[in-house]
Amino acid sequence: MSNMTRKEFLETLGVIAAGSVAFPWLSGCTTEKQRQAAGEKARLGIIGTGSRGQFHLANLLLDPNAQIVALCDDYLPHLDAASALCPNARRYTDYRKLLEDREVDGVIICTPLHLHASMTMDSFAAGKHVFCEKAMAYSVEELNAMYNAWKAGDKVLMIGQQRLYDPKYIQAMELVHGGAIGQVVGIRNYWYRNNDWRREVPDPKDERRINWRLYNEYSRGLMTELACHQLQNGSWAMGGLQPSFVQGTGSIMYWKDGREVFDNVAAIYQYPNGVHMTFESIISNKHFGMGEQILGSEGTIDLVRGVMYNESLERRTVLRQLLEQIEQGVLSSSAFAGTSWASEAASTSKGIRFADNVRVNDGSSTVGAAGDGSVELIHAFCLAVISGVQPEKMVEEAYWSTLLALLGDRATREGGRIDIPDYAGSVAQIH
Amino acid sequence: MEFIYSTRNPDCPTAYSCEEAMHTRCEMLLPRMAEPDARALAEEVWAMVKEADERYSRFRPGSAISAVNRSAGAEEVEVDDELFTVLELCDTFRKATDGFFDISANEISRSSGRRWILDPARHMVRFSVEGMRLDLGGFAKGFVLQKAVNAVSAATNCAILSFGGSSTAAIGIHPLGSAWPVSVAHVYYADKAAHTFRLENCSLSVSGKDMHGKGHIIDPSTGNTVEKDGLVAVTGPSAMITEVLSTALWVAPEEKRKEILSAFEGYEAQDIRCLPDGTARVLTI
Repeated sequence: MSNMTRKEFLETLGVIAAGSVAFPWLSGCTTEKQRQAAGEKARLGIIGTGSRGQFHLANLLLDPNAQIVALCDDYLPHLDAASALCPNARRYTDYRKLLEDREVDGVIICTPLHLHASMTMDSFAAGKHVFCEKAMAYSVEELNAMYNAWKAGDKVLMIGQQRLYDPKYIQAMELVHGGAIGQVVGIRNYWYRNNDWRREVPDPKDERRINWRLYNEYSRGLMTELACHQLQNGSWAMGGLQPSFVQGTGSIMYWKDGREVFDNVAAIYQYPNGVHMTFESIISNKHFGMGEQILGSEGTIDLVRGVMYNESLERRTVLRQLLEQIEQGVLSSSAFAGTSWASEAASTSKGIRFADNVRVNDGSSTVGAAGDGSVELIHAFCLAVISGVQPEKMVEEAYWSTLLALLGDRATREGGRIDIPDYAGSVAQIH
Repeated sequence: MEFIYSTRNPDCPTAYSCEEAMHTRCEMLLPRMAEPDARALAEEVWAMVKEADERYSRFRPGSAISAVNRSAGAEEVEVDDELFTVLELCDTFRKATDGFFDISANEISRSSGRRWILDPARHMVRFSVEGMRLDLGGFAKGFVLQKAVNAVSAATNCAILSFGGSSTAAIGIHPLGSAWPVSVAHVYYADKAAHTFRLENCSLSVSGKDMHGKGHIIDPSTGNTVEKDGLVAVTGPSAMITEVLSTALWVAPEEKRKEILSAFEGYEAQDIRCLPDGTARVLTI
């Protein structure tokens, strides 16, 4: 939030929420709802105080509706680092003890993937609201169990899919749903980095605990850690329609350092209407960075840069339209003027920026990037904890992102084609 | 020249003509004129437009403005009456718009001291700074459109002309009833109108980024292309002045716009911001 004041980000979220009836998870963030929550604080405990936990902690310390009352980690250097940021918060090394803390209204779970489902369900059982980092769960079975546990209870569940709260993504999806780029004909996602994805390990015995992302026992690698964010673009752009099947491949071809998860993957999802969504990731080349593009029959939206490109501008000229109206004997107002007529091809276009003050995320950060919706998302969780009102459709969006990531991972490891409806059931249709 | 004479509506036969000139597509619609008269008028107008294009395009080595650009930095250059008048007008508009309309603005000319010096007695022009260059592009479009309007008005009281879609001039009213309806297209949605104008003996000029997001107007104070978003639309009696004003108001900061516009009686301007939800915020300047 270094470039944005607290007041500004609250206003931004409120304005977006008020103007975006198509995005129901924002309904708890309107300016009016924020005004009602003024002076109130969600009492929060953070479970998992590593890099991502500390990222949220730093943002929450600036949030007027948050009070950090408890911190938990079983790796003391991380717990000490968090305590240094928030010395008044009680310290725990066992999350079950934190869940017994009656002053904790909600928990923020930033632990390795394989712990998400069990910790979330334990938190519900303890009567806590939950914010859990993405992906939702380590397996399809755990995903469904976690979803069902939330559905059966009355506690708030939010998942760290921050694009749902990123102003430029919201405005982009408004354009897509409004027909600005015509029919959606393709969705391209890629995420390239050039680093080994390793964290420093002071003591070799902690290798698997610290570099849990690299081992199958705890992680699904690139698909759950990176693709999960981008696959959500598909569900969002396609209006809740989900793919029929996924095919994929992957390998360890560069970072042959004992890791178990792939260092490059490619997955293709096909929707029932024939549209494809792709995800590709390589972590030994960073030239193209991160890209997320919605391709339409009449235009393209670059989600990362907040830019729209028109595909065809050869609309009839204003006088041609007027001639046709006269020929038909009608007088209407459908004749369009505009800025200067230009004959250049769309491929040379600079595009139209549809969002202000876009900070382009190149995907290089392994913690969180400025302006990517994380601040707004965690603030929305605070408001939800205070009101007790679940942001609508938030869990469904996250459920599908995780399901697609998990099945994409299976496809890259097993090869062949995986039919998605076989796993999804009907528990979490978005629309 | 493209020429179509449509009789599909027998009550209102209409001529449509188009010519590529002034680096854009120039069009006119002539309802209820006899075909030979309409064709002759179109030929006459397009000949005038093409001649002006030859004279005022800086991209044509043989044009009068190219001769000025080549030599006026080093010595005085004599120009004919019309070009001298054009340069005088541009200087007048530069002053009247507080410098935001400036034909000497370009990417290589950033000096605040640049200007062109006119000698009315001898019709001579000289640049104050060597390397200066004048670009009559936008002004010439409005200037020539106004000349075309004058020529067409002498022959009919019902017509509409458009140069490139950004500059439109209506003569009289629509043949089917009221004022000519012309909408400014929504930047994001090609089939939606951001705002609709009703033109009767009136011109409309729109400045801003095109649908490719390209800005082509230079900020005189920086020499860089203006990169801000939004559109400015100006309506008023003269196509030449609406062209000047839409350019100046788009370049000028918001707090200066009203003051600039107030110097031009009979002209109205709108700031149009297209929003991703398909609506537009239209503010009268």
